[in-house]
Amino acid sequence: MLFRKANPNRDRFERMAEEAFPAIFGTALRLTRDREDAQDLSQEAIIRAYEAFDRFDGRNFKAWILRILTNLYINRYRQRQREAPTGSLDEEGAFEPVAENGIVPDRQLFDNLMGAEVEEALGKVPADFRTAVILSDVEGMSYEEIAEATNVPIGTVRSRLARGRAILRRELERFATQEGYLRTGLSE
Amino acid sequence: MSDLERIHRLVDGECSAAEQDEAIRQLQCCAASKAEYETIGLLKETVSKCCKEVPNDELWKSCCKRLDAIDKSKRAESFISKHAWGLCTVFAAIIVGGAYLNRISPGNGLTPQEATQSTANLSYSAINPGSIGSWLQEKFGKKPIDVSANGPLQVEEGAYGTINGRRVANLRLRDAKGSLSLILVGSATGEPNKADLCETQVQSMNAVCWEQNGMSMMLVGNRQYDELKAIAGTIRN
Repeated sequence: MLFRKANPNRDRFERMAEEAFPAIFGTALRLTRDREDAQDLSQEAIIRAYEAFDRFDGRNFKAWILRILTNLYINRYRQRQREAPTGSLDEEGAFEPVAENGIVPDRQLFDNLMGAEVEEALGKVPADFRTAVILSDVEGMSYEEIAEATNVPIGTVRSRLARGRAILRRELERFATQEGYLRTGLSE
Repeated sequence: MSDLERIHRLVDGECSAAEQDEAIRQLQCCAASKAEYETIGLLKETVSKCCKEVPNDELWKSCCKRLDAIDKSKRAESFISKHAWGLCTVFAAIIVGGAYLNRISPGNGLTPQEATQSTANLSYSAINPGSIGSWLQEKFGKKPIDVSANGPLQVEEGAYGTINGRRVANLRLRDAKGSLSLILVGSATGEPNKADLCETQVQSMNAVCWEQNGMSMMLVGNRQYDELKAIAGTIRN
């Protein structure tokens, strides 16, 4: 707006939010898997963050706003989407190995994967696990920040992350087999 | 803490220095742990590399518009909360000022001329001098004047009606010098000189006006003002 009244708080918020916005919208897209929901969710998160900006501790704006976004997603969109509950798999200590039979997959396979293929595989990971993987591996958030964002204990974050990675790895392996990168799986 | 959990923590940089040393020792002596560590690292790197940020300028612009709307409403709220006392004072002043203007505005009452004209079309009926008190009581709910049945001033007839929502009566009086009219209006006539007798003229005749018992009175007759005032004095007493 050309003649907007000077507001240092607003200017500071706008600078930080504009920089973080591609990450905000990307995370919203990966969480909701629906463009319209992602637009609503990101916009709502920006508004909430602006209204609560005086409570921002000044440390990591992106992690702070992603926490708001994730909370909103869990409280609103997640309930609406009615995904199947994760059940006992969600419990602390439910770890399973990501590598199969102690064999490291061929690096070439991972290098062959395109963004769209990884995004598709990520979309097949159940929501709670996917959220943990996105916040950790895409947005680089710490376990503590993920725990705050998702309102669960750190132990649950660890198990969700391990479980999510294991599922993601299997989805990628399935995709690689379908595409002919692998004949019967990564382990062979 | 399980070995698997420690490996995830090592990849994610969540281990303390002591835990890190222990985890590295574990990787050196266990091939399965090493494979797990490398696979997790590879997966993490792939996800991080392939899942890029998604710019959306249109959406950002629409967010800014919503922020503008919030700022606008915040400014309005802040103005109101800052100046609440001032605004209340202004509103109170408007109400009090309005009430005062309403009270002193001549347009709200009847002028002597209007009062006289308004009684012209009323129908008169004879009133027994002895029953004037009960007649007034019946019409106005009170007895605003005192006209003694045996005094020098006698009531001959009276008319009563409602003009513009005001109760109006005209009493035709007679004394030794002739006839007079006493007009009673159920509220202020708009004449500012409340209790004092004020002189005026209606239909080329002298008249005196005053207020008494919450009513406006006007005595009209073909007499001098002093004479009218003297008669008004007897009625007022």
